[in-house]
Amino acid sequence: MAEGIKDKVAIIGMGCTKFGERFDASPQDLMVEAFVECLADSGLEKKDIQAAWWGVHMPDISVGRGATILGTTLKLPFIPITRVENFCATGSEALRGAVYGVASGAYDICLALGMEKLKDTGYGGLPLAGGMGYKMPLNSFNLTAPGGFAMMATKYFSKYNLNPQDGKMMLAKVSAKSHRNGALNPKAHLRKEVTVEQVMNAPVIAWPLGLFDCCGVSDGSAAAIVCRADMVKKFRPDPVFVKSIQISVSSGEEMLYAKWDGAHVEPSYRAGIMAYKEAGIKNPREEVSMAEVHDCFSITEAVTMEDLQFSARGKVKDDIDAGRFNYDGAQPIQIDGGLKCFGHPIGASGLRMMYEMYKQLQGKADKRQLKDPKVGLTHNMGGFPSMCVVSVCIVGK
Amino acid sequence: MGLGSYEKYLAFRKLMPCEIGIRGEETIFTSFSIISRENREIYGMVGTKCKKCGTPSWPVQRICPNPDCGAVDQMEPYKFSDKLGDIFTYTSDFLAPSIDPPASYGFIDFKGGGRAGLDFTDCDPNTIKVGMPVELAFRIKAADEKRAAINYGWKAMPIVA
Ligand SMILES: [Zn+2]
Repeated sequence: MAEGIKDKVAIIGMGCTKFGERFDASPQDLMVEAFVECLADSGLEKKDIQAAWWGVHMPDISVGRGATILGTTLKLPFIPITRVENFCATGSEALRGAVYGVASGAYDICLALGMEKLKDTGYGGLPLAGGMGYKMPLNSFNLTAPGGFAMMATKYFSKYNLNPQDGKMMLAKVSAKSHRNGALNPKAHLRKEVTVEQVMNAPVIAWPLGLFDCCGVSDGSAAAIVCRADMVKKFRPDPVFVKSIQISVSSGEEMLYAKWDGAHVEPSYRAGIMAYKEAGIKNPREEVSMAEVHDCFSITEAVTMEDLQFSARGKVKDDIDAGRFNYDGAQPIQIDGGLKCFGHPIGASGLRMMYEMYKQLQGKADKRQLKDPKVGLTHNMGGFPSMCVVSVCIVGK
Repeated sequence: MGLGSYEKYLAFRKLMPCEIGIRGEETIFTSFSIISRENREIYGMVGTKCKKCGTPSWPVQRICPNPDCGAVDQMEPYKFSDKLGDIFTYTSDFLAPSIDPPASYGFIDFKGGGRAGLDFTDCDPNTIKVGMPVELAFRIKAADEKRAAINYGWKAMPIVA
């Protein structure tokens, strides 16, 4: 019987770059920036790191494939390095590799580092970067990321009888809340508050989603050093313990078997259930103090509240209207500003989310500090609602 | 948005240059061996139907996606091109490169079962609704000018009552 990884591994150091249009920085500059902060925070030396997991989703437009770029950039001394890629969960996948490396007993101390350099394309939205295979243009359609998620908003509005005005208002509150948080965060890309009215009146990108329903696209990097839980006290008094890391991937049922309702993300629900079981959480709405979830689009955050069982099915609007997920609400979400304000350098995002949970649990989140949070959760979702990869990580004291 | 019909004609015939952004610059590569191998699926919109449980799927599957079935290699060809369907969900997308923006597309649920994501054609984006009936139409998807290949495929055409 698998026993899971609860409390076997601790995070003892983290680093995160300023996210944004980092035209000043090369991909290697970003990697070094995250690593230097992470190593200094851990108090370790480079020679203490025994293995590394390196996450980058679109290396074809930045540093190329394989693991060599991490070893040669950081000058890691011939240690095992694995490059991982799993859509938008790439950063969390790198952390999962490092945590599993330690939990397995193979290593005492591992590094996870994620980076993405997207803005060198010169245009908005995620790069095309090929990569979908030669068959895709022959039997697929003109799908973009906003379009794929807009279809979930359309279906959510239809299923729960929200007229477009009320539906867009619900989503606008999600984005306005994150902008309010991001404005306080010096590492965020977008640091301006926006009003619900501004969000509602912004140009449409893919109906019903407007400009402020979409997260930014940015450059950035983040990193974590993890170690065996039983050796952590020698390194620092305030480590953060990994309670669970789970990934769920679509079985194809959503589109191919056609029973999916189009208004939720099944792998988010499944990954949540697995993660809560591993972490021993019975009531996520009450027990999870705070979360960074994958708000690539406002609708994604809204349905994720339901998929992670923070809100009842079809009822997230009530919780949004009541301010439950605001910085001063019962269950703050995207307290660092989220993808909404950080943008989404794909390989880095999962580790950027964990950086905020780590700082919050240590009481080092500056102006964003919540009052004594106990349990933090990160959630990444990659692909489209109809077919995707979802990670859920839970950490605590 | 809102090109008149004459301007659309000029754009479609490439008699008038269109600004579609850097995003639209990606060159199309047509793999002729894929077309040769999978032409019934690509040009015929032929998917599969499980002989054991009757689940129709698009595109072609070897393993039945019904979680209670999972039969392996029990598929027969199943044609979607002549099936009617209705709009399960949709969007009209201004980011997608298109000479006729916004690019409208969605998921179609077919009468008799099966679901597919398809571009829409011959429709006014402002009139599309969830549940609207559609039929399929064989249309140009893209032109691969370097290889002199016109890539055709099936699109969903909303039926206006
Ligand atoms: Zn079957």
